[in-house]
Amino acid sequence: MLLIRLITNTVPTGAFRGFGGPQSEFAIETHMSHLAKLAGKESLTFKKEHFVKQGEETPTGGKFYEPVKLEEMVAKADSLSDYTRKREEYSWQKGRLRKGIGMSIFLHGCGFTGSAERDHIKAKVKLEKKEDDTIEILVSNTDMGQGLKTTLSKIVAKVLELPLEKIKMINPDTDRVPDSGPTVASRSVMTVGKLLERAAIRLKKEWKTGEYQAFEENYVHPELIPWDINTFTGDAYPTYSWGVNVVEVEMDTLTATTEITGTWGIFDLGTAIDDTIIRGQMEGGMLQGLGYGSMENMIQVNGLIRQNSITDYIIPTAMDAPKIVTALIENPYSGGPFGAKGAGELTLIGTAPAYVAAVEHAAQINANKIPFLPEDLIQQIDEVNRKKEA
Amino acid sequence: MSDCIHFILNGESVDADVPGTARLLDILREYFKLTGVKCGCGEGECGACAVLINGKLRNSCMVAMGSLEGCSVMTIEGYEKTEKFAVVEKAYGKAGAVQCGFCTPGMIMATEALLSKNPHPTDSEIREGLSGNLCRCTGYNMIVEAVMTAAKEGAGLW
Ligand code: FES
Ligand code: FES
Repeated sequence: MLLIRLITNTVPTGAFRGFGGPQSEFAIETHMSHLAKLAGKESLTFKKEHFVKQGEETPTGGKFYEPVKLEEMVAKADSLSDYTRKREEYSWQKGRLRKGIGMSIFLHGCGFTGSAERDHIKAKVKLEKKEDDTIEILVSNTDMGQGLKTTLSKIVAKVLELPLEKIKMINPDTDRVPDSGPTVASRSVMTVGKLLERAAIRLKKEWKTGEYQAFEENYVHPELIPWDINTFTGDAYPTYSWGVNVVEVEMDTLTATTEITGTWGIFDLGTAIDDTIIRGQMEGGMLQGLGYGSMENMIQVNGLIRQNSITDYIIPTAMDAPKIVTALIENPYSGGPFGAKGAGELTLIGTAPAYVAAVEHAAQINANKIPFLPEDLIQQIDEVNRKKEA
Repeated sequence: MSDCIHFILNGESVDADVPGTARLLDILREYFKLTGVKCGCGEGECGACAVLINGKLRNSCMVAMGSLEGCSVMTIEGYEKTEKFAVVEKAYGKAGAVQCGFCTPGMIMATEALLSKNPHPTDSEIREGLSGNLCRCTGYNMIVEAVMTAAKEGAGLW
């Protein structure tokens, strides 16, 4: 037997909420606004010229099957935050203290990429009715605080027209539950919830009071343009959730300190099954994204992370949390229970680019990295000043 | 005199036969099995291990057992039995202030510490009162709202 041992000095990486989304959305959004500047256009005007529409192709040769409500979402964001007026007003400021406002417009795929659900996950759920007519949900998905037990129970209760107390879901014991797949990829409510909705519809039809009944449902793949794992073409996702975020800042250009004075988030996640839970996802995700974009620094040197613990890896505290205003745009998706799409990851990915856009606006610079720290800002301000002097 | 450390834990007089250099956090979790007290960081940054010592909010990971002789320690398990807790619990539930719950015991102890000093805090006083307790899930505003509600609903208790 041949043994090869490899040594690496690269820190292993893992999934972070949004799995590739936070990084690419920052890059895409920031790149788009830099292109707009080169074209002599206002960022939002330029982006609007490139909005996709329902029925159009995705970058991988798939299709946007569902209505794309970006125009409506931007209009809502504008009316809540007064973006257009402030954007105009804060342009060309000269003094030490300045304001800035930035917007990000983004999407996030719902569920697993490509054909993973069909080929690998093959989700199965089970709904059990006990003799006392209470219902148990049997799935392998875990409630880790995102509110899955409440949400899935609500879906089943709503179909069966039963009070929520009649539905039970405990965190999974793999001895008892069928394999409905992992709790990842913003899939639990949309994909697993849909299967439970179908099982509940069958139970309702065949309901026998006082008897034990059990119904299983298996995943059915929607009719899509097949995903080719070699060429990365086809429908990457059955559908997408969308977001428009606005961040407003006040900046002291001498000390390079930036305070976030307002944050707005407009989301299309199909339908919200539980408003409080969705508010928690939106607010929590948006603050996590602001931390990611403005302060959460992680530097690797020779295979070691310089931030040893949360003493040097700083995350936002209650004092850093700005006022967050959120709104939902209804856009029910037929492939999700009661129209629900993915919500967990989407809410994180938009605030970092919106924050950077606001910082760029206030300081009149181009920023090319996140987190964009006071150190980065002061360096760029110095450069601008040096150029002015030269 | 015995070799134990005597203190009041959740209203009861206790003796702990533990080294004076042991961390209160470990003793609470391992010796007294009070696992509502969480270890988030072990270095005084996150507040997940927060308890009240003589009514003051303290990170139990930073407290040596030897410093506790004669002190009164209150953890979430003791606070849970109070009338004030009932008000705080209801307010947290209503506001949706709990997601994964890991920060929650510490947050609730911080809420009590704040309200016992300042029964009618402003928004920014609440933020300051909770600023030693990190939460990764909620974005904090729903927790701030919960504390506001608790202060209102529990008027007279604090
Ligand atoms: S565990 Fe004590 S402060 Fe984090
Ligand atoms: S609820 Fe998860 S850390 Fe606060």
